[in-house]
Amino acid sequence: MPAVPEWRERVIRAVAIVAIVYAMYWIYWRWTNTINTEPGAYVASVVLILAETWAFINMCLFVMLTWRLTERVPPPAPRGRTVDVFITCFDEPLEVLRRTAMGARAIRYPHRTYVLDDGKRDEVRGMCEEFGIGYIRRVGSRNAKAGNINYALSVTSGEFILQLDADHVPLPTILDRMLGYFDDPQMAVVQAPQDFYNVDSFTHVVNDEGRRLWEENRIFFSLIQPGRDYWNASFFCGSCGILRRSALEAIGGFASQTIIEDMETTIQFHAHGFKSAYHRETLAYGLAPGSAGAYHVQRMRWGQGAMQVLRKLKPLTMRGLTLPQRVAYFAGAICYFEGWQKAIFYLMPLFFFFTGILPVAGSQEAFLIRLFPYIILCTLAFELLSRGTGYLLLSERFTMVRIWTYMLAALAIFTRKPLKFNVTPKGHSSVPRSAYMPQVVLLVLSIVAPIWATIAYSQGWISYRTQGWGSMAFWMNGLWALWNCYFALYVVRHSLRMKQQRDDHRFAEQLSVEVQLADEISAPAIPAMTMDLNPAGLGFRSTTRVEPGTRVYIELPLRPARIRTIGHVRHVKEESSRLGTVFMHGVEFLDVPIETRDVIELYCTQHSMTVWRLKYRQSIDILTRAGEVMRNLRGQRRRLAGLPAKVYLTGAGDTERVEVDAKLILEEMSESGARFVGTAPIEPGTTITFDVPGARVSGTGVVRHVQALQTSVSVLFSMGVELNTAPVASRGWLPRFGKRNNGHLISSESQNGDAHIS
Amino acid sequence: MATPISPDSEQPIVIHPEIQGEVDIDVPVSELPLPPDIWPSTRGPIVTMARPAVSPAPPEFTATESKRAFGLDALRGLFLVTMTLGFTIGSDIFPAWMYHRQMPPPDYGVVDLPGISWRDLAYGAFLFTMAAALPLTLSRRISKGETELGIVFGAIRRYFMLLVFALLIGHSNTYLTGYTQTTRVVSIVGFVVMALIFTRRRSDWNVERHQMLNRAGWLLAIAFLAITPLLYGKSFSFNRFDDVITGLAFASLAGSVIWYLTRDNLTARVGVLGVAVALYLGARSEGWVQDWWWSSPVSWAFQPSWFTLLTIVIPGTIAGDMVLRWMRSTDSGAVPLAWTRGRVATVAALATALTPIAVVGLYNRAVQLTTQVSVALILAGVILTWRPSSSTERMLRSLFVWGGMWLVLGLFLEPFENGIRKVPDTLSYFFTMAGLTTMLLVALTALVEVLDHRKWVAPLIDVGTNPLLMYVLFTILINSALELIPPMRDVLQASPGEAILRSVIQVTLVVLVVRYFTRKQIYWRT
Repeated sequence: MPAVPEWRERVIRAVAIVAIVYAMYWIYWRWTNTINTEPGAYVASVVLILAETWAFINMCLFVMLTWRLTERVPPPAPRGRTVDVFITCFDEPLEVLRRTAMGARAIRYPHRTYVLDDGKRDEVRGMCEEFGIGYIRRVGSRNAKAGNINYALSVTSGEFILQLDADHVPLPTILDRMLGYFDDPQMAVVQAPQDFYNVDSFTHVVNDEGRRLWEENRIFFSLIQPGRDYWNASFFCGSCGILRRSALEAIGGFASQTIIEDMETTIQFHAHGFKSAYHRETLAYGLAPGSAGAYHVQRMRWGQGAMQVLRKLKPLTMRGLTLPQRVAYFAGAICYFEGWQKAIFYLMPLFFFFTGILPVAGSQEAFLIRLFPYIILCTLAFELLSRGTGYLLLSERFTMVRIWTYMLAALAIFTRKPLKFNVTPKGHSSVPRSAYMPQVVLLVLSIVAPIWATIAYSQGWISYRTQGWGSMAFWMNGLWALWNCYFALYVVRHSLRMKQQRDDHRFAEQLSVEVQLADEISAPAIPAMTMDLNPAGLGFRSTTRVEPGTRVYIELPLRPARIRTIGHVRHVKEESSRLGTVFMHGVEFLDVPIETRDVIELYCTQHSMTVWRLKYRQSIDILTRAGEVMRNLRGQRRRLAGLPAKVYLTGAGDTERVEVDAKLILEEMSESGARFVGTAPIEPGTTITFDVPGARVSGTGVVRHVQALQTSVSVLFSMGVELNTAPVASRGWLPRFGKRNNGHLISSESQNGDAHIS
Repeated sequence: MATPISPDSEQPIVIHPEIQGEVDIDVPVSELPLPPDIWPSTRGPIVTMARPAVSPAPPEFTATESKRAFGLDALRGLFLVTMTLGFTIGSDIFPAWMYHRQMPPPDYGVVDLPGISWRDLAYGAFLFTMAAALPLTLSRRISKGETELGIVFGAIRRYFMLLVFALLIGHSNTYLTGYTQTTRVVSIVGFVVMALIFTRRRSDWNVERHQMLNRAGWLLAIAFLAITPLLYGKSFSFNRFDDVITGLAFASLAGSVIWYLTRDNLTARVGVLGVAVALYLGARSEGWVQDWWWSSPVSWAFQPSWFTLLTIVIPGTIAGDMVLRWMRSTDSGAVPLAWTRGRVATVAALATALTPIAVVGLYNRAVQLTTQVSVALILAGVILTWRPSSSTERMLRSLFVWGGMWLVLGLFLEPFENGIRKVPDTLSYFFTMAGLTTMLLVALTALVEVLDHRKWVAPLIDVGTNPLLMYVLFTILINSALELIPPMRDVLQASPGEAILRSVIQVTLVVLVVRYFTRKQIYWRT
């Protein structure tokens, strides 16, 4: 996330203060003027205000935690220190673990890698021997992950421990970037963000055309953690963090009183006077929950662990912590009560429709004239404080997703029984009905309630009259129910859709390749572009259809080596777009040697993922967004093309054309612009012409900008080209549905400089 | 370094590896290189590209639909002007025929009087012209490859936009919000908000700026609806809406769907009309249809009784189909008409004459005479339009025959329900209006397309192509703006003559304003 200018920070804090002051007034006014004391309404009225008050407390804590975000510049990594890299595993798929092990082995800073195998699988041990990395297996599995690490600590000796979960593939630079913080002898732990490579996961929202990426955890890793860091209260998150062995020894090893040993361990560090730091740079990619089921398992563990922290450690009164640290840990734990608070909000319109009782007293004018500024100010403050990570609607969707899980998790505050450490499922997973059934019930009730109310009103069963309120009460609650319906519907659809079908993730990768049919070796190769890749197979797009079952040869221009693969086409999908008909093929590799698998694996994790991320923006704050909307930089909708293109440099007289000697891909295109990605750059200002073989997409334009996309493996160049075509009519704000143009003429092809598709 | 591997899984296993990584690192790598800029001046993934200068607006129709139905535009303009004229008559010193028949002075309350006045024509005609335009709009979208779902969602989108429009007018119109200085200012603010939302971008306008203003308009609209009622002591209410526009919204949605589904099957469409008539008749007597007909918890968005509007919407779409067939024909303009200009002028005159005859006759309750004269004129017109040879002639004849049929149907139904009424509307009203409007369409089309007198109706065409702007100008802006200045409230109100002059000035002003914007290609669209 780019640093926010100081003047903006001042604006953000000013708005936050105004919002808090107004919210304080609102809550005061609600308690003193709007409690409905009529029989039947009193309890509901107080419950609603309690929920609002809880929201206000959370708002204050949120403001405190996000008041100032720490931006750290990493000191140079010290030389000659000893580091052990621990990869903890239990039952994760071997492909996932293998990827992580390879990544750990490739870390640049001298280190020793160990796989801490609590699953006690011989195939894991065999893999470690193959890679030449360490392997540790203990007896039993007491204290789950904490116990596993503590045992490993007892048989190793590195000064520092880089802890990785089984799915977190580190980048080679991870130690170089983070180890320097330990120059401070009081520094006990440095945490980096947990980022994820399966961007098709349950928690990701990807906008390909807008090049935007949002992940539910971003608000924590891009906002809360840097905010906590300002108060020296950032905490270790169980993976992608480096710990100092001597500090761990000082607190008696990894803490194991709760099932969130990472937070608990950091609390102990802070209570013993140690420091923590948060390094805001993605240095490892893991697997986000692939389905609703995995997501709920993970959140249930976190929620129950937070309750254990509250009950066992009592952070507000814990000795050794500073006041901000106490508040920060308290805030981190009580956020799981959000489930109950939101449930009250979701159920209140239903209460009104089914009983006719409005849990608010006073006049509608007085209420609404105070409510609207409250909503506007709170929304604005949230958007500004979240610095582009906490889009309100997206956040609200996931609030609805986890409401039931959080409600159940919060009940753990009352239990003294030890809780089970449930590992978040990786790979193929299903969706239990409990993941979306509460939302189905809410959805149905929110639809039925207004209908019932209409009948009840027309039949005279319920009057729906409240003193001081006209029909506005009905409509306000109707809108509220509609709002809830929208989110509930989203949860149900999202949960059902997001089943992870593959055992292993495919990485998005765009390579310009040629597909040779194995049975027609003399036929010309088909130009194509890969869509995704992993050691098991790939997907490619082409304008020529290849039938399922066909054996194909594909040479992959990977780095450091080119790789020849053979596979067979498993499925074909046709896609009609403005750019014509494109066929998307899925290929399964046949007989891939282990060396080839490893090259593909490393290329995917250390290059494909990083390049993909370079193209997408993850945090766009509201002011930047507003600026972009006003400037509307692009002006028109760019449509994804994803096809290999032939590009020619055009001379001044447009008479001579020289083909560019590089593999180039037409990524996206509108009537006025196009974007290419390739292995060689073209200088800005150069006039080019291009065409896509098979698709008859062509155009002429001028290169306007070039950006290098560099990783530790390779470098690519992204080039923006301006086409001299007329702008299309403005898109309205509301979506226009179902426009379809099956490769028809988009614009006149008679003029030079036009893009045309015929 | 490694301990022996034990086959016994109950024994701990520890295998220590060699040190990995680049052991001989010399260069501090804390500052690892970031992706370099190849050309520093071009940093950044997004670059504003120079935009070409003004480009021509995309053509309205494809090659086979290159004509424009100016007659339809003129007809819409005619009734908008009529509405404006009626709306701006503020004085209560006119004779009763200057007002709605069922809402005469001095009380303007609904009375049980049969008949129609000239002011009652506008509502039905407005619906008719909107429905007649649907086949043209939708067929253009179909020819552009729009999917079935797209058509339906497009109709829903327009319905939604019209509802928003109706709510905004309802919360801006001083007729509904009260005649105070505050509400007049609110009206003007409402006009600005609507302008931001509904003004279509002209092709040479800056896309970003227009989008920004459009989005700002939506945000302002929400604030406007939520906050401004509090200024005049009320709160937002869904029941404060413009009923003409909500009726129009429903008619647009229902008409679009019906036309789309029956575009190749006229019999089915007439069947739907039969269903609408059956529902209407069913609702006249006690029973479940009547119960359903008058019940709606969301009366601002939908009322079952609006199905009555289909009795004018469906005739409108049928007329629109005829215009569309003419527009798609290739012979118009190339094949000389077989009919003489005098014959066409006579047909136009007959078609025009039917409106004053019907209005005057029905107002004065000379029902039988009106019916007889109308039937005679229709028969004469049918004979005059015999044997059409070109597409234009075929269109005129078809329109005339269908218009005559609707008018006869309306006149024959007149005695039913104790006479024709606009308030509450009767079947006779809708069918009569469908007939009269179709006849006026015949007259205006003949005038523009055959007699080549487009200039005569150019102001009406300009107004007709920008109906939303016209409607808002006369319903909320002009009166509010004028009455904001206290001395202007009583100017030219002393006598009927002065009031007419004032009304004419206002109408002229509105027409000039709309013409200006139309000429500048600035349209309000949903």
